[in-house]
Amino acid sequence: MNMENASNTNIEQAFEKLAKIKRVEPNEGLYEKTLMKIHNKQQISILWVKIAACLLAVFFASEVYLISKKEIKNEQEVSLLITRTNNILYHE
Amino acid sequence: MTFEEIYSEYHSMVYNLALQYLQNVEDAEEITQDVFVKVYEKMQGFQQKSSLKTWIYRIAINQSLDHLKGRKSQKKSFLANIFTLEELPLKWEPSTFNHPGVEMEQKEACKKIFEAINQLADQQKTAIILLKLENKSQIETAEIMDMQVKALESLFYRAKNNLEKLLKEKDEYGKRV
Repeated sequence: MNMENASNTNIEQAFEKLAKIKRVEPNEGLYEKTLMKIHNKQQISILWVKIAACLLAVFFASEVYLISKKEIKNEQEVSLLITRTNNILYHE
Repeated sequence: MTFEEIYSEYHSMVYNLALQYLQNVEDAEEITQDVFVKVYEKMQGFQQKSSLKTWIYRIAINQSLDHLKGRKSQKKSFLANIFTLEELPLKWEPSTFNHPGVEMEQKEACKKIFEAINQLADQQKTAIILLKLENKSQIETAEIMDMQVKALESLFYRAKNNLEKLLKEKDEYGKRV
């Protein structure tokens, strides 16, 4: 028992045990899974590009709408400032 | 070299390296996939400042260490939420020790050694794994870790001492229990 404990504390023996670990081969389907992951990642990035494009389009449309609305309002405001000539002759 | 050729040449190397870090088949498979996704994304920009093998080794090491950090932070935030403690000395342990390269009769002993390796700092852990588990030469390891051979020697010396201390602590704790 003591010898077993002593061997555990011996770093060189620990390294020997680690050196005995065999190399293993991964699952054969791992390549397909990797390709799938690459494909999914590309799909996701395309989806994000589409979402970003949609958001930009909505932003520009709302900006155009707001500006045009403001312009109309401004036109009305400007027209109020222009003095209208009254051509009615009261003593006619 | 096409992606398929790179995969068939290096997938075993990446998988085995990930196993040494994580000691779990599922995690090692996930790391292998993530490493080759990165290789696929970055292979056009690979500038051949180092060999392809060294480059893939570095990606695999970083990916494995990030995976370990991810697990640690998950654990930490969960515990921090419950106990509102910020600084908890946490070490990563695999959910299940499932290293297919370890023989049955060596399983308990190797599990104990890996538990001690998992407590080492990242650089020390990598030095032990590359030199003692992957059987890389000092020159190769220094190149992978992007450091001078002398610096690697002193890093390995510190790692070995710390590992020895941790193993002794584990043994003493085992005797008491």
